Amino acid sequence: MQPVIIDGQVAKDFWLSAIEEQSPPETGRIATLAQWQLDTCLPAVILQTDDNPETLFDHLEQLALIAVHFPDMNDGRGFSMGRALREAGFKGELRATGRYIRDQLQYLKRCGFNAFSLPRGTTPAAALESLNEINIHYQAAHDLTEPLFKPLG
Amino acid sequence: MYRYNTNDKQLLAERTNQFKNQTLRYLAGELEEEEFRPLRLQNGLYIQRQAPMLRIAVPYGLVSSDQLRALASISRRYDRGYVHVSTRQNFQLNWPSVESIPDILGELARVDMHCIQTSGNCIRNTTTDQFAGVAFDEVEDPRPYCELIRQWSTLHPEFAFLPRKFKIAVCGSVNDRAAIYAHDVGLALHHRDDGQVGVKVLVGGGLGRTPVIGSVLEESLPVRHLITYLEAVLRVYNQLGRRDNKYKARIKILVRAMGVDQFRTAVHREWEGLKDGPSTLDDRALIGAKDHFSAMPYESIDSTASQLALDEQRDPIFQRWLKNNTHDHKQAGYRAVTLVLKAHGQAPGDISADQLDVIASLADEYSFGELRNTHHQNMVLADVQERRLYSLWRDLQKIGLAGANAGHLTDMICCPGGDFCGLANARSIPVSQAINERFDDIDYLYDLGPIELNISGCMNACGHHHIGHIGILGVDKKGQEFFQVSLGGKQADNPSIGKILGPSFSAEEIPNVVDTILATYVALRHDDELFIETCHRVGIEPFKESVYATRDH
Repeated sequence: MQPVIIDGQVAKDFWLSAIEEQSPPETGRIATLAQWQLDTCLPAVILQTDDNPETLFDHLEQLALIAVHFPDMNDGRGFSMGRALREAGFKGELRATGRYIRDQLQYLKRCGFNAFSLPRGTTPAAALESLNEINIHYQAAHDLTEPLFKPLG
Repeated sequence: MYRYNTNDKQLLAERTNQFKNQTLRYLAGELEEEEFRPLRLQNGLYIQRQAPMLRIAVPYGLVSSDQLRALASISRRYDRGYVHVSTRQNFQLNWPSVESIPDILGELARVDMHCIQTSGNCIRNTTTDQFAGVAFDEVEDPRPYCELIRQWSTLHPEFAFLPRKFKIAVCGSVNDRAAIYAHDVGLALHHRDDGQVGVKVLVGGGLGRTPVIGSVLEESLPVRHLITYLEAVLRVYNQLGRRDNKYKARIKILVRAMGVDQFRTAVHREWEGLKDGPSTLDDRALIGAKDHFSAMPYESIDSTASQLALDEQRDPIFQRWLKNNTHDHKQAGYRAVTLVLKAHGQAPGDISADQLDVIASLADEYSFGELRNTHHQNMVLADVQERRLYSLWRDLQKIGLAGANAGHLTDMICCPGGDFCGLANARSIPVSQAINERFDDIDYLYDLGPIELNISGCMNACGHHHIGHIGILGVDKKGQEFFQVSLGGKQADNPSIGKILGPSFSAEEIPNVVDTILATYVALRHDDELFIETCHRVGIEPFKESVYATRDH
């Protein structure tokens, strides 16, 4: 079982990866969007970067986990998807999976992701370090409500 | 200018350290080439034809004398003793080694400089009018807004992996000197009827393979919404911009595919959730930003007397320089001065470390220690007293920077081209030098009046050839370098894309072609008619006929 990072800590992954062929998915397995659309009571779903996160907006309270799969480190759509889901009120686990690198973890965190599958070739310790490389942020994001360009009165 | 506070310094130190570690991991083989690539590009590092190129950010073109001196020293230690001013107001080092990059970044950070987002598929350095804050025709100083955009866009977590690069330009004056119609987003500041500052928002302009003049997204957005609105624009682009073909990935292609009205609807939909949110610019934020750009401690000067003193200087060469290279200023008794970086035998925009050191001292002596880079690849001393212009001119002569050709044919824009750049089809610098040598009769240049000649070594159009009055584009034909010539391009005030004259020319033919174009203009012009006006009045045909009639076959 691959470790995952959840809320800044190394954790065991209790979810099983989505399998397209399995329908309906067994208990404890993440559903593909197509599987989830057949049964919107399923608690965990994975989105691809060309899916529209708004599809989930009416069901955010029932979902325990939403994963976003990055097919390529340069596909930046997932960053906006994360913020969209958080701004729509999703409070559960928002997990990034796929082909990003540790140098992108802090950006993902700032966009609302709180869980990460380990990037290829990265140790858990290095990944944790990458989450907090920069400690000053100019702009508001999921982790910071007030932008720095608004000096406190 | 904006001075770094402890937050800015800490962020820069952390970012410098982060990139240092990334570079070390790459050199140690822990980061693969394609993984390091976007990281190094976001930090301005290109791997080029002969050596890496490092692009150093100059936020909206503003630089201090101390920063210039540091740059001179860096270029001596780690490069070949010169730097290059780019069309996006940045500096470039052409010969650093990858191993030395962390040290260079460390030295830059000591004077609050860096290479953040000077390349890569992210929001690039924001550019503006080189006369921002001093221009006589200014409605609103664009610098505070540029600084707010700089802060908002720096290490923005959501927009670091866009479909393609994203360039924003801001203009706050009647005459657009920032080419806002040729940017992904162009912003024009104005005063609204309700007394607020308004922003006209243009989207989808750009040059490159598909030159497009930007479309109007908003006529007058109240400035407090500037950041939330930009965020909405970027969100739409990040999600819907094409990622399957990098030549179709710029926002202009998306806007064209959706149509500007539908694109606006999508932006407004995103904006609903952001509007009036925490990134709204309240008075505190606006005043805070403006405080960094308060007026210089100008002396109050009787401008009639100082004008008279200038008239008394009989030297005709000085008078020409005064006319062409100095510009009206908001403050009576002051002028802004252009230093043309187009000397014979030098690539346009190149400047030596020794010249940089002298310019830094001149900035301290004459212009409150500040300078600006211009998108015409020149530098500007923005706040010089009229009565000291003669003395400044004499000082500039000593370092070969008193060329009086600002705004004329030989004050060219030219990309680094095939001599340096891995993308180029052709060597643009030798063409610029050939033109420079051919047209060195200064009387003839003045008689021709203002002409913008822009040269790009390939269709990526870094030399802005589409919007040059005369545009020259390097093309590759079966492994040979050729040059396509266009006429009638214009960057501002009803901007237009130049029309291609016809079949392309060899590098050797170009000076003759330019000569024929100019002779045709002189024959056809009405009294006081500028080159660009004649081009637009008579169209391309008469030029085409004369150029191809005299062409050697």
